[in-house]
Amino acid sequence: MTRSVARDAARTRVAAARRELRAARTVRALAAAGLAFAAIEAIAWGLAALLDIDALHRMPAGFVAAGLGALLAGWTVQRRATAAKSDTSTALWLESQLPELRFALVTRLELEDGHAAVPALEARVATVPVESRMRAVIWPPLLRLSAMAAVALMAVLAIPRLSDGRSSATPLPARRVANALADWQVSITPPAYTRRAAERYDNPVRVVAPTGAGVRVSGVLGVAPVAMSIGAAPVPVDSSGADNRWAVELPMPRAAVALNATSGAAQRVLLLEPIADSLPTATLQAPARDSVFRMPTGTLALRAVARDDYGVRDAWFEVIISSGEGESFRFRTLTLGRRAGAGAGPTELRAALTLDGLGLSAGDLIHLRAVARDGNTVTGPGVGGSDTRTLRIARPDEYDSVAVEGAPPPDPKKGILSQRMLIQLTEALVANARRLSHAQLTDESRRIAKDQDALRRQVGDVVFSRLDDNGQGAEHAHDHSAMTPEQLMAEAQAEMRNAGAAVDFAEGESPVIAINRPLLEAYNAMWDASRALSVGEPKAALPPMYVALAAIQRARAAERIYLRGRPKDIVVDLAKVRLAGKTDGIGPGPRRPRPSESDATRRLLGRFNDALALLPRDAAGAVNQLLLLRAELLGSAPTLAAPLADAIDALQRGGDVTGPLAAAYRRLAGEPAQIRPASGWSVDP
Amino acid sequence: MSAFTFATAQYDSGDWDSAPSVPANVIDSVARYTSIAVNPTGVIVALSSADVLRYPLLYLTGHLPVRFSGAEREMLRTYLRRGGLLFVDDHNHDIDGQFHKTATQELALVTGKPLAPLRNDHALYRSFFTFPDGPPTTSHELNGWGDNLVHKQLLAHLDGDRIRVLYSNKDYSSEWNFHPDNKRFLSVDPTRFGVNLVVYALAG
Repeated sequence: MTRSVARDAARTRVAAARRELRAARTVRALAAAGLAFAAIEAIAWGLAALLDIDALHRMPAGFVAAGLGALLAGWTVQRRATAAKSDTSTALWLESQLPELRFALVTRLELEDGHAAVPALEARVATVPVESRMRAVIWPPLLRLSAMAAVALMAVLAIPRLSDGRSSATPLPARRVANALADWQVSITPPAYTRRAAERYDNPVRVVAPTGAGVRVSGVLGVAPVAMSIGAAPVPVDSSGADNRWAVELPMPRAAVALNATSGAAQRVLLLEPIADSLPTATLQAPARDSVFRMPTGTLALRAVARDDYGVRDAWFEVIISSGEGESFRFRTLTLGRRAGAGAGPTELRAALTLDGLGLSAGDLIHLRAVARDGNTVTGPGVGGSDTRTLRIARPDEYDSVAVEGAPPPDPKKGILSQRMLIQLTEALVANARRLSHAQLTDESRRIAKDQDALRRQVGDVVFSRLDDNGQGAEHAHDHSAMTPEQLMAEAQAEMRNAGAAVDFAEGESPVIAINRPLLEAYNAMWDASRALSVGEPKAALPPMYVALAAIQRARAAERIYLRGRPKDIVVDLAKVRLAGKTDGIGPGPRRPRPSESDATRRLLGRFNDALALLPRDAAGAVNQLLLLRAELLGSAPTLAAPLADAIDALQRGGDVTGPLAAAYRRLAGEPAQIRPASGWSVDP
Repeated sequence: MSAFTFATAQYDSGDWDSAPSVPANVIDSVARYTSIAVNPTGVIVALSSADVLRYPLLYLTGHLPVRFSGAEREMLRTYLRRGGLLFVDDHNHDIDGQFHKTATQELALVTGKPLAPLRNDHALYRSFFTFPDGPPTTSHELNGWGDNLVHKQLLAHLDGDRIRVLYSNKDYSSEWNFHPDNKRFLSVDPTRFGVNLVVYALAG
């Protein structure tokens, strides 16, 4: 009985120790799990803050990972804690922790139930305070470990509040993301007059909407506040929403702008591209052209079509009647056929204009056009008009007008044929004389005689004009046309005597003869020729005609004077000739020269290349740069901005963006210059 | 691609500079009627210089007898062989004049055969403006000194159907020798034929 009681007491003590060890093992596992959870969470926060990766913390998988880590840690601790596996292992653990037992406890447990009691063993086991010693060994470090785990967990839970910078009194937001700009939504509410439905986009980099449309950009609040600006002007951001979201609301501007958003270190750009509302157009189909009415009676059928991109609000015919003349006019304005618009489609206008009731009188003008108005309540309303038809009531006195085209008077000298031409005509007449009747021959010969007389009179005038040119006898303007050669010579001699000119001429000739001898010979021969021609003897006229021609040639050879020297440079004003107008000296003040096209191109390409260089490292940053470039080009060069939009959209879609980027580059760089084959001489097209 | 430059040939004999306003007048017409890039002033280039090869059209005129030097003759031969167009105008307007006689002789020496009449339906008369009757008549031709003939045809030296030398007795040098600003007083611009010459030369 005594042996059995002793053995049971030892087992009972071991069993109690084993239960306590199990409890300690559970507490240790929980503390380890808590520490693991806190550690994983802390690492995730650190990575999120360092790499600006919100997903690490935002995604549920993060919490799952932390939980799994905690379970793993607890399980590992459980497995490694072997002391509570069996009574023997517990006894061995106690022996290791309490050396004064000297293996008495293990030995006692291993004795068979029928084995005789060993007093020394019993005494050893009884004397050692196993329970108190075991608690002193187990619980102090375990409590420290649990405290550490609790502190770590509390610290992890306190990070969001610390990052947000709020006081501990502020309620913790439901959920904060690391990057508030990583995910945003844009809602577009077009103006009511456009009759367009509202639209919503997820994560757009640019939105296109009619001018004046409401634009709302929103996203989840993040650890850093969101700030927005357009250029240097800040845009207020509403972060007070109860739904844990920030939002910006602004109207679509008239010109493209870039909305710059920042949140901590994160940046993002949203390009706002307005669609301008075009003015309505009106086409007047009838009457088709201007006209003049003899009488102000009858009815005119008016027909027009009005169109607008968002629909015509109303349209009508406008008639302006002007009466009067000179500086006294009176005007009346009428409106006909006003009609409300027919939605987005074309609006047809029809009306009839009765002239009888307008009180028109002769000379009155009717100016007729169609006018259309759109329903733009943001920048309008826009009003467009058709071409104006002018209808006029004729005046009674305008039917007898005669159109006269002015023409310059003919040059009298061009009616005079040259001596060589007269010879040709006379030779031709002589050659054809056999085929002509006498009357025809005589008539033709007399016609040549008249031309010969005209030339003779011209030579006579030349003789005296040459004297006049020398300052002699300028006032003696006689008619020499009817003079015989002798009379002409006598007149010339008299002129020279009256003038008292120098007589420094060879062979005793008078100056007038020396100067004019060849011409006087020509004059004499022409006289003979014209006389022969006048009587219908062209063949007889030819010899004196040859003499006259030879004399004229001699006069030319003798008198011609050639002036030598460098020609005066004449610079042709090409801009004036080509009606291109002046390009300099215009304007009140000095102007700076416009940068050359190549400079602008180089600057654009530089910015484009910078964006491309950024693309491998920071795709979002590259897109932002391209958006800013497009915002600038939309105002100055819309044709260059178009391929940039394709490139930006392609970057957003992902995949191969080589084609759109290459197209944008080519457009910015300009069309390649055509290399033409080398040519000696050619012209610009 | 360089702009067209009107070149006047300077030769040692004779008065090569007798019509100083003709270049400006033709330049004015080219600018007025065409979109050809053209320099606002002409150039004077020595006929013996290789610089003549830079100009597709070479204008040569004068009153006095023309006697080319050996260098001038050789360079002119090279110029014609390389496709240039030489336009020679008799400023005397006289088929019996010394310029006509000597210039035609010299040109025959350069080209190897005498000048021949150019038919009046040649492409030259349709290269820009249309002259259905051939070369336009000048007022100096109708009423002036010289041979006082209305020349129905110009003379030319052809390479196939391509004009290499164009010779005129119609005295365009007098007809076109006025300041281009005075064109506004004319009902018909007489220098339109000059545009045909330039376009024909460039179209080669």
